[in-house]
Amino acid sequence: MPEIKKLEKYLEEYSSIIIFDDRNEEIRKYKLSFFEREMELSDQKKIMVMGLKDDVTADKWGYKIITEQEYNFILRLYRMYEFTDKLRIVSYFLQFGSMLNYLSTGIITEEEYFEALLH
Amino acid sequence: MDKEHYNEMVSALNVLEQSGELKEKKLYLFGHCNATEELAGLLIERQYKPTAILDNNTAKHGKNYRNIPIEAPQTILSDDQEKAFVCIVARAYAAMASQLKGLGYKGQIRKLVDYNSYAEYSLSEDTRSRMKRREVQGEEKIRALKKKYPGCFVILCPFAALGDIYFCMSYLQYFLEKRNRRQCVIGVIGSACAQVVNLFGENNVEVFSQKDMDEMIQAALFTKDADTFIPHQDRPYVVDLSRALYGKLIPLEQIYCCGVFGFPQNTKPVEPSVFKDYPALGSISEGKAVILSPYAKSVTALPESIWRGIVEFYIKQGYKCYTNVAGDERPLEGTEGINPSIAEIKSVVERAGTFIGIRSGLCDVLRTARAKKTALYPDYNYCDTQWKAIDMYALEGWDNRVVKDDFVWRIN
Repeated sequence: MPEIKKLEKYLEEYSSIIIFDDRNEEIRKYKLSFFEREMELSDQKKIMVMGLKDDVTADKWGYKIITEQEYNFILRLYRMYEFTDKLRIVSYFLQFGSMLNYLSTGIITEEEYFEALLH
Repeated sequence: MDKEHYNEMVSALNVLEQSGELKEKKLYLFGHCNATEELAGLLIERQYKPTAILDNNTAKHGKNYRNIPIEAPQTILSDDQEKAFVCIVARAYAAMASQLKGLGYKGQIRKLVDYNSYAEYSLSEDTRSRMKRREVQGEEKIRALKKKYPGCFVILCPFAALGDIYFCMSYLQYFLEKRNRRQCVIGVIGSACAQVVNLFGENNVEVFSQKDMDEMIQAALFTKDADTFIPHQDRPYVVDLSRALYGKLIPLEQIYCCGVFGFPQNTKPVEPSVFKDYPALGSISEGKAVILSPYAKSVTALPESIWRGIVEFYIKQGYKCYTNVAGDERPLEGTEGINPSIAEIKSVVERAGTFIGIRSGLCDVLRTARAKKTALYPDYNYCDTQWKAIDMYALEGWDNRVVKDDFVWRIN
């Protein structure tokens, strides 16, 4: 299965993979804001950021556009079991709480949210 | 560590011993937590001397547990890897094993307790098929639950911790209103958790094993079940709320209120209201007794000497001391064992007048008790964050105290 091989390769190569489900407008704004901010990575961390939309201009994290089919493939695995601790999916989920709730309730700032994502 | 997991750990150790795999090995444990302490105790009892406890939390490096040094994981690389043997009983087994391999460690790694059935860091076909089967089993169990409680929203509490259930129940009513749900069924692990649910009024509660709960949760995630909610701060693996703690202190109650349920931080939690009187309440001298609670399954234990000092102090003052015990737990020396139910413990503490306990979920149950209440906090960091347990769990209106090496009990 080529998708599996590709995913395995990413997991081997990167210390974190962040996927923004930018089909949601709010998440898309967070994604763009993420790329606009000055943030530093701890030593030896290599991050890959993915999204579905081709709208990132200031790409400093190595932005990769994925198709809806690719996203759904990863999401399906992500929902099936914990196959890595390197993957972060930024999306609204109905079944559990997430850091996005901290943002909407003012517990953390956008900057703190992004730093937590990168940790 | 609960009894079921403890027995699983003992069996796994027995198998390792019988197979001779531990012979002439240098044992390393990974992750300084309550479960690892239990394993260290068991190994010491069987005449092993673990070389080190590996831990990612730099604040713990240089410290000891029962004379076992706590060190950074990479220190294992300086040892002969043919001889090294890593035993893991922590929940993050898969991440720890992957970290060691990533560091270049080539020796043996063994999981002695399956704390986290969600994780297997592999994308092999075999793993995917097994995990899919597990998820399908979960779907069947959820279907059965929904059949038993038609039309009910399903709340699945993933972990057997009284405090987690308490916080869940404190905000659940508002959450159901927000989701326009009238009725729900709450799935928990263990009867003690079910008792905490019942403190908050009449509710549909179902008790599950950890395995069944994990499978149902996995199924709810996989099927994107809009009729199920998992109210927890860090379980299962998809919940990222604890990640924010690397940069900011967010006390546990706020994590539940704002993070898990998405409510503003000034939301007033619902208080429990269904308490009962302990049948033998009259036998406790009113205002002249102390209820001690030294046991908690998910918190590192305090040294016995601490409790001895407290008991001696109160006996000298003419107080009668009781130890709250469950199962095969033993009362502290000089005290009498007492075993009220979750619903009765408040009456016991109010009658006695004084409660001193290690900070556990039982303290949450006693939040509203009218008595002198002290919560003792082992001096440890919350997970691998910079925050201490007291930062995360401090209780309003209580005497909150950190127990350091020079701790001596005195009344504040």
